[in-house]
Amino acid sequence: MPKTEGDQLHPLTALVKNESGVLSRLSGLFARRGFNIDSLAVGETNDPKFSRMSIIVKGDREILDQVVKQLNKQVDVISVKDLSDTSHVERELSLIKVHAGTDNRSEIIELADIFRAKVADVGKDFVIVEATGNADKVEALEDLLEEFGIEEIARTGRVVLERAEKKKEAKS
Amino acid sequence: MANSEKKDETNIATKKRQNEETDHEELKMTGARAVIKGLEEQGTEVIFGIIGGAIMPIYDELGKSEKLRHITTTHEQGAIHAADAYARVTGKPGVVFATSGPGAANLMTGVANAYMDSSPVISFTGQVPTPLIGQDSFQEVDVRGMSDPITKHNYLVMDPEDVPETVREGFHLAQTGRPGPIVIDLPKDVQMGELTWYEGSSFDDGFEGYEVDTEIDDKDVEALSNNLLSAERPVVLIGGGIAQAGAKDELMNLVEKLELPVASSLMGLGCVNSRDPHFIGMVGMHGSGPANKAIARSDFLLAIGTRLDDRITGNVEEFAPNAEIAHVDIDPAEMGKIVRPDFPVVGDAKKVLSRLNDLVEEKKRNGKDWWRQIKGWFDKYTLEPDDDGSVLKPQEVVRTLSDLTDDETILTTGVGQHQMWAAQYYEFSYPNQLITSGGLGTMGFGFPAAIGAQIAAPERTVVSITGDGSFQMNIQELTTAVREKLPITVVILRNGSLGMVRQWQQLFFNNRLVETLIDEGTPSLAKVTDAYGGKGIAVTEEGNLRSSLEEALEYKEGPSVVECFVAEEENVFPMVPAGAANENFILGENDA
Repeated sequence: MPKTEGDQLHPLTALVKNESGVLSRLSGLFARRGFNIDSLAVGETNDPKFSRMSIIVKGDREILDQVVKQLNKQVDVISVKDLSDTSHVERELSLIKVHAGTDNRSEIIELADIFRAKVADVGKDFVIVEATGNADKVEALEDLLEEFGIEEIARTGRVVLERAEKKKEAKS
Repeated sequence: MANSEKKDETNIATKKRQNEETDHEELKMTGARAVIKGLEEQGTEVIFGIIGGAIMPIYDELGKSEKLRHITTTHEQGAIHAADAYARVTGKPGVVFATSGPGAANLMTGVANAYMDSSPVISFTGQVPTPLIGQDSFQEVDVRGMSDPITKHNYLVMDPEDVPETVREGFHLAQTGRPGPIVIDLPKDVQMGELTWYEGSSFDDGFEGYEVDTEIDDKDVEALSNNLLSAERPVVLIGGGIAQAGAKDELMNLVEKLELPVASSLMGLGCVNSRDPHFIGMVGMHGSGPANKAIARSDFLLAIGTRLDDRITGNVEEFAPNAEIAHVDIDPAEMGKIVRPDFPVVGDAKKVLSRLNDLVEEKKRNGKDWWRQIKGWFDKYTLEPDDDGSVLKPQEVVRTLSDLTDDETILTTGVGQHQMWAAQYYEFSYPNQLITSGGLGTMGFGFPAAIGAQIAAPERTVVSITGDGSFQMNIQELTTAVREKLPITVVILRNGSLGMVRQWQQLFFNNRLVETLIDEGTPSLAKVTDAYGGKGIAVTEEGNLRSSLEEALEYKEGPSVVECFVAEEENVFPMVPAGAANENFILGENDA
């Protein structure tokens, strides 16, 4: 089914100051301006003064434009890039705790293998599958594991980074 | 463009090293002393505030300063509105001190007010000592978290060493680019802790993550000017940004050269003289007929220094429906936030207007037909309140006051009917002459704002037009005005009701007047003023109006309050009903 414009997902990457209060400031900004954020992930960069924030924004171009501008307006935000039209790498890590007994454990492990996912932990009644990839891949694996019964899931949210070979730079 | 990644190090540690290397002056002092020294360094002269437990070390240092004057208000809200007005009058940041918890919480309405009207107000709040933060300690509140959505930037300073740079950064942020409020939260142990003061700031050339002034794109300005020149029915719509940028002369140069009609938002009033033939009135919900008609029919709208908020646009879909819209603003985030412009130009209004003036030099346009049409709307829609002199009309009070006060007068207002009458009937002659709560619509703003304005400009006449509702929201500041002997004149349009809401009830809620009639219990505000030690005058009929206003304006020993008992049923027109197109304004109750 073709997605409507308002459903489009746009990956943004933002370099922000690594200071207390920054995350609450920015997540508060999204909430109070009514921006629809599909995923938000943040972590320190190689320079401990900065963190990189990966934000997946849901909405049309006009909403995206406002998100970028409002982020730019924040003093804590050093730079924002819209990677929608830029070649980038996108990854998400998902830990999926699946019901597994002796009867179906090998089946789950096989499935994980196909997705190049790892088994991070094995217990009497459960295994924890660790899947990494883009959101589609992780979600596809989750769908397949659903039939075994998923107990819990923890996802990191998507992290995005512009590819080394820069192609086209979108938006300021 | 805006976001090349800057990685040059500009942190405090680097600066310290540089200072050590260049052997700058070093001083040991407490955080509290550094706040005071920082304020002196910034050229601050006046602070508005109220002392309390968690900010005592700063006040102790303040007591030793010979350069800083402190005005103690009666409520923190009074302090911050005063500082807001002080900033608007002087063009310099207004500074506020308040203690932790309730002191800081009481500031928040004023912080939000300054945020909405882009006013550079810097609040220093005491905070509980760092080891007590997060324990629901006595008078603890999360000031940084609380002020997040209503500040340009805010700080919780956890290390005394960071105090000097935080003060400098706060002042820099407050008054550059699009101005806005800053909150600096200072735990008591940070105020008492020791630091080394270094001269010079690390961000003299700007700092990362913050751009002061965007480069104006000449091509954008050129496209704008070409379309402006070829337009048949152009209108200029100005806002407070013209006042902020000090762009009145550049604006008038353009307007006179091209004979352009100019409409204004509430915040932009005075940037074009009310009596100037190019001025066609305020736009929007209570705007003039000519202004709203002209914008509705225009083919090119040049909006400068206005964020085109809902009180301006009315129904956005039908705002300037036939016009190509050029939007000039210093804040890139205003482009397309509400109205999607055909010609967006990001930049300082003064600079953009000068470029525009260069481009349109020598060119002439023929605007006779358009002006004829506009004049027709003036004939058709200029409202004359029916005034047989039997009752005191609020509009007449404003007119008489306008007549009695000189062009230098500063006028402040609260929020509601009186505010709109002031906007409609007072004749403004310079930017920021009207100090009003435009964005947040804060009742109670006007009187403390008059205090700040009078402190900022002791030589000028300061008048506050207010209502019985608005005045009572910060009536306690009579204490401050009496103590400081401020010759402010407050003119109350007393109609016994929360008039603007009552008007809506009459028009849109089948005349059910729920909780808007407040006269019962409201004392004689003239007598209350006398009790405080000011001069109170009551006016019940038109015959006494002029002499009473004159008496009040001549009184210089302290504040005077003229309590005008005006026609209770009077409403504000024209009015655009909520959700309607601006063009479909109503001119009276029977029109609704």
